[in-house]
Amino acid sequence: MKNILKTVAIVVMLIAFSGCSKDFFDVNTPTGSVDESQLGMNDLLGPVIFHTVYAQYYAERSFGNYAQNFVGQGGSAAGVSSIAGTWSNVYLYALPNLKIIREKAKAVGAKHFDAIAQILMAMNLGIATDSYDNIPYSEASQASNNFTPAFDTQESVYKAIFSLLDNAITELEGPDDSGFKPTATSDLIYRGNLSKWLKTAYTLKARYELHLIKKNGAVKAANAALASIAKGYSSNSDDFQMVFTDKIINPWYSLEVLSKKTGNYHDVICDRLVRYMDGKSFPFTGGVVTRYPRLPVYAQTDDGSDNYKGYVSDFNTGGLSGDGTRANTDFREDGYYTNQSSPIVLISYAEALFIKAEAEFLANGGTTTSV
Amino acid sequence: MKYVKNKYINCNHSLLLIKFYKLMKKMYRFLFLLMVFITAAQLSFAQAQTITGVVKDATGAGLPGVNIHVKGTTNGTATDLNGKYKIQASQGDVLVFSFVGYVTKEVKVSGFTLNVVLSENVSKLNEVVVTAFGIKKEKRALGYSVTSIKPKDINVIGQTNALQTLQGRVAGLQISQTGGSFGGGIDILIRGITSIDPGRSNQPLIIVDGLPVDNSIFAGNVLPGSGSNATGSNEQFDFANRAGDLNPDDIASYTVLKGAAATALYGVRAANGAIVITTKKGKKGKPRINLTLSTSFRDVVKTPELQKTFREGNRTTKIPGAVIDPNVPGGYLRPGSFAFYSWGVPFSDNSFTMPDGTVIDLSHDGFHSPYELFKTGVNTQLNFNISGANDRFNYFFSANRTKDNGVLPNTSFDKKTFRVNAGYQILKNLQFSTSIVYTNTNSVRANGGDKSVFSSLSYWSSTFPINDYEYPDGTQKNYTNGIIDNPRYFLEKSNQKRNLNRWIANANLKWNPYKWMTATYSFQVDNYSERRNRFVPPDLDVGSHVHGFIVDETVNYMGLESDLLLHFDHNWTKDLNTNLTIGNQVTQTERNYAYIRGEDLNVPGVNELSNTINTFAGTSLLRLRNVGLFYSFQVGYKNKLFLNTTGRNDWVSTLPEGNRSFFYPSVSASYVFTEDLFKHSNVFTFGKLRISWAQVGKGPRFGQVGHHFIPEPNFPFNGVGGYRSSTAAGDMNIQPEKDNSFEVGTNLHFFKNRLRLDYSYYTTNVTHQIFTVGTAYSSGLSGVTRNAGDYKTWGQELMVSGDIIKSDNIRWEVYINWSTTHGKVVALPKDLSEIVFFGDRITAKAKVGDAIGTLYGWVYQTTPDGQRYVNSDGKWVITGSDNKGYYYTGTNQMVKVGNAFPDFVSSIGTNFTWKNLTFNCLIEWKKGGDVYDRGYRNALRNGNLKETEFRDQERVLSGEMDDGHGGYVKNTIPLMITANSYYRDWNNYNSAAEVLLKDASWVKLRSIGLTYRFKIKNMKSFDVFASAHNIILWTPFDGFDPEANYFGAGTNIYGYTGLTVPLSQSYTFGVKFQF
Repeated sequence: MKNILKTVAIVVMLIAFSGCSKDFFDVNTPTGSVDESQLGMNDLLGPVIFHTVYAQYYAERSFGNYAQNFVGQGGSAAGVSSIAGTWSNVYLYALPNLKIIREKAKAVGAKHFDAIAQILMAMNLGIATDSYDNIPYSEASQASNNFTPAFDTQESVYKAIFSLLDNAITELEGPDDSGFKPTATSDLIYRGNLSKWLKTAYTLKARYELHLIKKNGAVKAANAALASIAKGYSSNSDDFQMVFTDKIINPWYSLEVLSKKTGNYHDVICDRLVRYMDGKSFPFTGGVVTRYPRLPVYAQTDDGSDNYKGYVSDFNTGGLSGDGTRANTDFREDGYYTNQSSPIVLISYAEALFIKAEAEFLANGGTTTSV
Repeated sequence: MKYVKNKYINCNHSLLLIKFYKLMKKMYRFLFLLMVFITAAQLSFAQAQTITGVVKDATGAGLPGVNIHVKGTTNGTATDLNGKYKIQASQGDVLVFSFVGYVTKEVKVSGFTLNVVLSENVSKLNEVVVTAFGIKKEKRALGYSVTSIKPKDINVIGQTNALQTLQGRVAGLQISQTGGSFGGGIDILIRGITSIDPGRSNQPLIIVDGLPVDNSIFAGNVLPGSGSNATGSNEQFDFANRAGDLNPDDIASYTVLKGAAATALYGVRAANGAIVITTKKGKKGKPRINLTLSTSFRDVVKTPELQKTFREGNRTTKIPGAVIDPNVPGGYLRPGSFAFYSWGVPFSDNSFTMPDGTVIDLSHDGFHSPYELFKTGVNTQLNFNISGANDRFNYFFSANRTKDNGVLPNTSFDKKTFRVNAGYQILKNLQFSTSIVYTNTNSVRANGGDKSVFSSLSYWSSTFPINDYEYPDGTQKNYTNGIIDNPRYFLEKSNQKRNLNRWIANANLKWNPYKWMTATYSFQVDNYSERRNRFVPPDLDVGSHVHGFIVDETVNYMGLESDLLLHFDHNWTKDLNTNLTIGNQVTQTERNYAYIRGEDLNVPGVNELSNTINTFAGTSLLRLRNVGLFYSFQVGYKNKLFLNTTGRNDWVSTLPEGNRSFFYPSVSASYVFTEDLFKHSNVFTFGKLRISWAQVGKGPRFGQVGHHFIPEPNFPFNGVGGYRSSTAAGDMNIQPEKDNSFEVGTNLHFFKNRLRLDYSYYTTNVTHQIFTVGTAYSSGLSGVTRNAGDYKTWGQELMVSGDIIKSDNIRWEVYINWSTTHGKVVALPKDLSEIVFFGDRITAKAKVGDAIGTLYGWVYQTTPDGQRYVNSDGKWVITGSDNKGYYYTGTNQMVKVGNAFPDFVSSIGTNFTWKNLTFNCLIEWKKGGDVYDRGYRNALRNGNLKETEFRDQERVLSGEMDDGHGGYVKNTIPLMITANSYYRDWNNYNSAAEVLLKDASWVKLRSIGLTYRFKIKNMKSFDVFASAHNIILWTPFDGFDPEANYFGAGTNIYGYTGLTVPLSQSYTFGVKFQF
């Protein structure tokens, strides 16, 4: 009897012992993961910039083909695309983290940081809405609280872009004594130089104002753009570009040079673009101009000749140029866009000047038929 | 006064007499009582004498736990651990000795010592099987389907994976090799799959000697930073499952527990069944020594059929891109700009005239099969074991060395295993046993999947000998000049090397304080550490973007297991018996993983991380803790009706705190109806009906619950570090997945057990399936792990076996297995329209109402009367669900085109013994099951396959064309079949499921073997054996053996094959010595 009681006692103790400790089971956190409270704004900034640039890159991959700047090897067109890379970079990687940066910035009163987050948000929204028209924004990035964010109209998204940029400009032009600022080890583009961020905001604003020619009227839109661009970029060193390294190589290089070398899919320069620049074709016939010096900067011929012939966008021709002969123009192996450490540019001084030029043309009464 | 004197003497005399009389009376009374007492004593001795003795088995070993009772009474006892017993009985009483698995014996008492020998019951009526936690049960008491296999019934020789030996032997157990490399991974499915979320394991639990051992497959991170299009690391190499570390020769028996009722006690890890393995133990008597030596030869026999007519040449102009010419630097004349396709002129042409008039000499051309890449793999095995026992101590020691050089150059496998099983009788009722196993495996594996040896092989043109792969200076010789790699060069220069050390040690204490109670405690440590190294030089395609890379990985696994069980067994009456088991199980597993990847090699050929310029590193720690409490209670009535109920409560660390504990029960019953109905039938010997219902739960995987912030995978980048919000989240209210299984079945034996039949029907309903449901990206999450969807699986299993001849000299047994398994998606969450396992031209996905394993694709457009539509170019049109327009136009969606799982699987086998000669054979038939070979399309588009031999000729495709008036008429438009117009045309030919998806039914000779036993003096026996494995007898599938899976086991993706080491046939010869 005593032994039976002893046995039962042991069993009961074991049951009690094994069921009790909650900490015993608290081992379910994946390695390397941290809690939001352990992260600062600077820890989140780098990846956001990286993914914003990649959102641009994925859009370039298809749109450059649509605009016939380049075509797929053998002259193939890009076909129907949803530029899924752009969508996932904007919504999965950029916007949710920007939202968190803004929350943290507001909590500590870091106005300048908040401004940068708003500029980046505007960039993402701009790429997305220019590609997709109506996009989710006001209900987006709420995780489990809203699995079906509604699509906002492009008009409201553009309003949001301007509101973000104006807020950013106000905050950047004002003081900030919170002590938090982007640093060289978190800001991939400007390494903490806030004046360049301010210029970026103005240049972006000008770009989007110029998009509204048909909505706001050419002169009004152009004048708004001119006002903004005056405070925008002033030199090439202001360009918003992300430079690659030999550790993580430029994706254009990876695609157009390395993949080509191993017989994998790559793009080639389109006949249309080459003919705009070779000095021989419409609309600059008759020897008025010589070959545009930019062409050899990013393109090369595969037969070593000096006669650049781009590929016609028509797969059935199997790689012919516009004149019916064999096309020969590829991306340059160490070219401006296709170098191992080439940058990807989101918005540049060159674009600022083009905006200024077009704005002045329109503001002074220019139309599509002006001479 | 004389009178006075005499009177006085007379008085004295009579007093004496009276006294004497009284004394005599007393004496007689005493004697009488004494006699009565003696008689009485004798009588009482006859009612309660102590009878002692020993109960032994046929080998002379004492049998513990034997039930002894005096016939007709409830006076009973049981033997102790040495088989000794003591019972009170009278002379002439009959003592009944009964024990599970032995023939019951009745012996009359005569004398005070009664020793008995019990003989084993081989009639299979009271067959005993090892069920969960080592609990032995009589088969008649089980309410669920359990199959036992003894190694003598299967052909173990020549195999290295202890589980692969079970192929085709058990209905409902489907084992396939995922790739053909020796010691590679195998996929084990019992009754199909229950978790349909991609990435959730459906493999069963492997138990060795009562304790679970790790059987995971871990692919790690072997991909470079850029330059690979692989979907994941698991398709890049054939990763082994860890149960392959066991030595098949150590195994004494396998028990396959199929349904949830059988595995309910094991909890969450056994939701898909369990395979219980017991290893050999020393037997009493003089030491036994076994030595087995064997050699196997493996060959890749099944390969795709190639065209042997046309040489390499451009797909449009036929200009040869490369012509073998030893006089030219590089060895190839290059008339064309590009050498890749096999669309050139016939081999029979002696020359080719270029457009500018130059004549190229082709007279030295010839067909060289690319499959000369494969060689005969030679495999040698040596297995030694010695075992024995005495009264207190038993031991078993084994050593095994297996060495294989693969069917591909520069691949190999080398495994050494050592095992010690020992047991010691500490006290009469206390026994201690322990086992320690150590395995060391070294392997070199070939790269498969994307940009691998096999993808290059699928493109390779048979105009060039594949083994001519390098120049004298060691650089790659390759006719394609870099478009693909030379597969042979790839094998020689790049592979993954693995070195694994594993040891499993356990200790077990068994305490038997009363005859009705046993307590056992077991503890096990399962630990392995593996070092892996992948080397890719810069001149291979997959390494070209990063200029070569090296990946060094370390995997460290530690599994701790503690089990405590208490058994109570009691006979309440002679008809009613109950037994109760209660137990507690505590498990902890931990996998510690680290990888370092170096990219950009300084010196191209040196395999050292210090030789790389950029390094990337990562670690991960995966931990699981599980505590379970369970009981099993069985009631047996008259040894013919049994009722069993179990319950288990689990606490699992992967569930959120609020839902951590969950309980699930099971109930089963079995009725041996032949005890009542056919008691004395000669035809119908044994019949049992069984029925069971069981529930088992399954939790999410490690780290899925909650939401975290993770380091940005591409960072640090350009001096910047960073974190981001994870795009995956787990529902904090997630509940365990619940499998509810129902099973009915019957076991019927006829003709004194000569004919045996086992049938089961089961259906399982899985509710609260744990899914990673894809969410709209605009929410910021790409997937949420939560309970979503219902799923149902059902199937049947039939096993029939018969002893056709059973005499002393000849035995002939035949057995047939047949099984089906089906699954259906009953419900999905409303925001999820389909689950996608893998997307490609053939996509594995399931919508609501679909059977599991459904494959979707694009199909040819058909006319209203079901004929293929031919367009005005004379070509078929590939379309989708709209049945009009091309598949990428309009609202066309993919349509159902097949199913990856078979209609049924059946096998037939036979064992035949005639005196000293034994023959065995097992044939397996898988009917149905479609696969898409991911290397097929490459070979088709390059013109390598036999089916492309028809070219540059016209053909009128079958089907109907427009008749011009809105109707259809038989097609008459001729089509010139060329590379560009047909085989390479993705709009009209090579994207169609009718072309890509193929029926992978097969009939295979799984094994066939012959053994001859010589009886030699001083030796117990000497066997010579020969056997063959995995010979394909018939399949409609053209290509490599379709049993291989493109993805590894445990990925849950079925329906794809190809681009992996092909499966091979093997022939084994050997000898076995027994002392």
